[in-house]
Amino acid sequence: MNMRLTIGHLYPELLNLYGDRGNVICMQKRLQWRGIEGETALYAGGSRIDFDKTDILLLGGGSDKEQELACRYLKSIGGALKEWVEDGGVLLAVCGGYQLLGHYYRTSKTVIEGLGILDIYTEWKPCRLVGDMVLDSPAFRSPVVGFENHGGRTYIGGHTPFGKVRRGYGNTDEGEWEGVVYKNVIATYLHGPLLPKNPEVCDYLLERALRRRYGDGVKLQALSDELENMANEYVAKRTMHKSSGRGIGT
Amino acid sequence: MNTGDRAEAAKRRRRSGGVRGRLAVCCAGLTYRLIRKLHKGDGGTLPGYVARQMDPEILSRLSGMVREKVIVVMGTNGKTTTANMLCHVLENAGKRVVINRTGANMINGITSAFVLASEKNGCLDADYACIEVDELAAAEVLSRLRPHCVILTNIFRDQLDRFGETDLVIDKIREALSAVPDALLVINGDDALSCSLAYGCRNPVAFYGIKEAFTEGGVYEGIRETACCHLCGEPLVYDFFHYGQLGSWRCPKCGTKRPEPDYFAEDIAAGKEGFWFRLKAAESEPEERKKAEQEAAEGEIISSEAADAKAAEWEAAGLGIADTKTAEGETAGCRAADTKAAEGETAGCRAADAKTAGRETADAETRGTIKPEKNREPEERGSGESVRANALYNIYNTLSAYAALCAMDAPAVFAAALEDFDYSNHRERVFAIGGGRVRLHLAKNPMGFQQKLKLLLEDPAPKDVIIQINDTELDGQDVSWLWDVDFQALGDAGAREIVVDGTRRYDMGLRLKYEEITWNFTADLRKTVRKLAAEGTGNLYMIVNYSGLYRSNHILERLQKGEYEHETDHRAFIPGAAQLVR
Repeated sequence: MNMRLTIGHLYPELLNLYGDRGNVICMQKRLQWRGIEGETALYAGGSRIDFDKTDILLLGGGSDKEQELACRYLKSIGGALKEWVEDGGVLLAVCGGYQLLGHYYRTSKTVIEGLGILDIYTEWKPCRLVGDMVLDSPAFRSPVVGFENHGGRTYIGGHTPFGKVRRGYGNTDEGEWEGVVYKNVIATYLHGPLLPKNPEVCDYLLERALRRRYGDGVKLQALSDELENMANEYVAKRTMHKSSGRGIGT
Repeated sequence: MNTGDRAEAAKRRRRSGGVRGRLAVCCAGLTYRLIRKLHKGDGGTLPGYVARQMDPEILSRLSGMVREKVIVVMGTNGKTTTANMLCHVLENAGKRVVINRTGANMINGITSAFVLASEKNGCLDADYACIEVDELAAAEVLSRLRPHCVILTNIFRDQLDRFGETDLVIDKIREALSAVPDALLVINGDDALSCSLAYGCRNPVAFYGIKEAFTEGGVYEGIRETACCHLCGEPLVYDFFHYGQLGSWRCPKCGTKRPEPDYFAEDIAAGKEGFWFRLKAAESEPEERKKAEQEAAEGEIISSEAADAKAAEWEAAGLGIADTKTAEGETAGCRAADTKAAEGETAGCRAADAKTAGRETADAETRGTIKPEKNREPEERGSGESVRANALYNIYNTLSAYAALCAMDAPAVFAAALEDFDYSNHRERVFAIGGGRVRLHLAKNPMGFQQKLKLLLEDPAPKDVIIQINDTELDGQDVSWLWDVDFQALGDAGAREIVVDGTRRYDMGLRLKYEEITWNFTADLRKTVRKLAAEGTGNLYMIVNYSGLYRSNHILERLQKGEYEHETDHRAFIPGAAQLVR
């Protein structure tokens, strides 16, 4: 069967702070290497999104100011996006994108109203949480690694976290839990190119999207992930050997 | 304070550096010599630290002794080149210049530059200071330096693990500028982000920019910092742009747009050796023009309710639009530059000539040599000066230096001075190794890297490439930015052999894997360089980030001298590493 997925990047001109587009490149290549067509759609602010044709969406990170602007556009598609998520649409929300899924984000200057897709909220605090992060997530064999850099603290209530923090901070200063997993949504503070170094997470998202469109029988064939695993291992080892992350005072 | 008063005051202060000052200078000098003797680095920062322990006020004390102007350079890319160029042009005009040449741009590095240029009596003998300042150190440094002029080259994303967000960098700079409200801001008008800073502070402002569209294809639109108007949030429209977000921008909603540059580059022609272009100052009276422009902009803002509300909100947050005083202050500098520059230049040169003769030998040791003035008449100011830069980004760097010197009424003869200017600041050095040519480049953020790849694309000859990415404190520990760079350009550049090295070689390798570009790891950088230089295409590019620069320079220098030749070439590459790539 010729399979095909459409991957959308929401507002790349506003939400692409730390190389977030790396996630789109990663998904697209890992489909292509398996002989599956992956089409990338860049949705600029204000453009119409055909949710029926969209399989995966990336909501990246932006500065507080850019996030405020992105939120205006998101508001206009909020209802449709929520419906799509409830229907099993695959969404990767990173950093600022994660915060926008909640009820609100109270920054140092203003309150940005979120989409309320997740029952969470975020509050800004003066010390930024910055550094490498290592997570244990029950769905994945390898630790999930990446970099976090955020001023907001996210309170996730009764939601399931994406992982348990082994090094770094995650949702709050306490460094206990990180991100949220809800239906086919992964929302996380691991910013930028999170997927290339965590190929299991990438394949998890791709498989979910393929099954949603082509049925539960779809199974992804394995790729040679030697290099990906070396990169993952390097960060995991290096981070575990030093004390936990550091903040930037503002 | 006019220049005459300042010179008087400087003279008074120069009679004695004070006991603490003398002690500070003396101890810093000892520290410097010790570091060099023990080969523990280049002594760029520790002497400054020591001096500040002896005399916490040492920097403001020495800065106050500068006879004419203190010029600060800030911005993401181009700081070092611009500061070096300012220094080169001024020295060519016979001026004595203090500069933090090693790129040590935090408070200790800057203090080092001043104390090491001082005499044993704790006094500084200098006409100008050209100092590059790190954005995060700005608040601490600017209040002490009290510069006459601050150049802002551009704002791109850089080391976000240090800076947080680009907007926070702007906040930092704005905060620093509030301590020196009289300093003339020289701003890249083609950068909407830098402009948002200019509109938000009270300093007098002069803008520079490239007047015309000339970019020849292959423009990557990926890294653009300001997609939206900083006043009203509407997506910006570009009539043309040169790279990144630099270009002719305007907001279709509130009418904010690229300011008419006071100093500009035009008649740009790309050739084999880079770009030829003409540096010019605007002919019209900037005062009237700017007032009219400002009124127009304000009028339009008021006509849009949403934008107005936004502006009010920002005003309240301390980001208000510059008042009219700004426009006046600004023009004083610009007008003077327009009419007086030519005279000022020659007068300055003459005086300096006489001075130079006596002092040259005494200070050559600490400050490097002072070059005699070029015997060349400056071209007519009206027609501008024709100069050359080796790369697009250096047009901007040249232009920013030109704008600052003109606006400061300082000697600004560029065409002659730039003939022997080295654009590379030891960061783009060329070595001859094993019969081949090796070019070392520094790239430490996505925009810098993209520009280096552009150089590779423009070189039609076959080439090999080594990329080294480290993640020390100096480099920034977050290498996410590698995914902001369009590496397809590297594929298109037709590199024969690509070698990846550094502590983050796996990340770099992954980045290339996902562009389906084949590469190798290296087991020994030295051997790989030798092998590629001698047996490869003979045209090797080495792109490194900050921490790799010192070591790479060292290795390449020794290879150039023919050291290590007894070694046999084996295991230059890790065999089979390429097979990791699909």
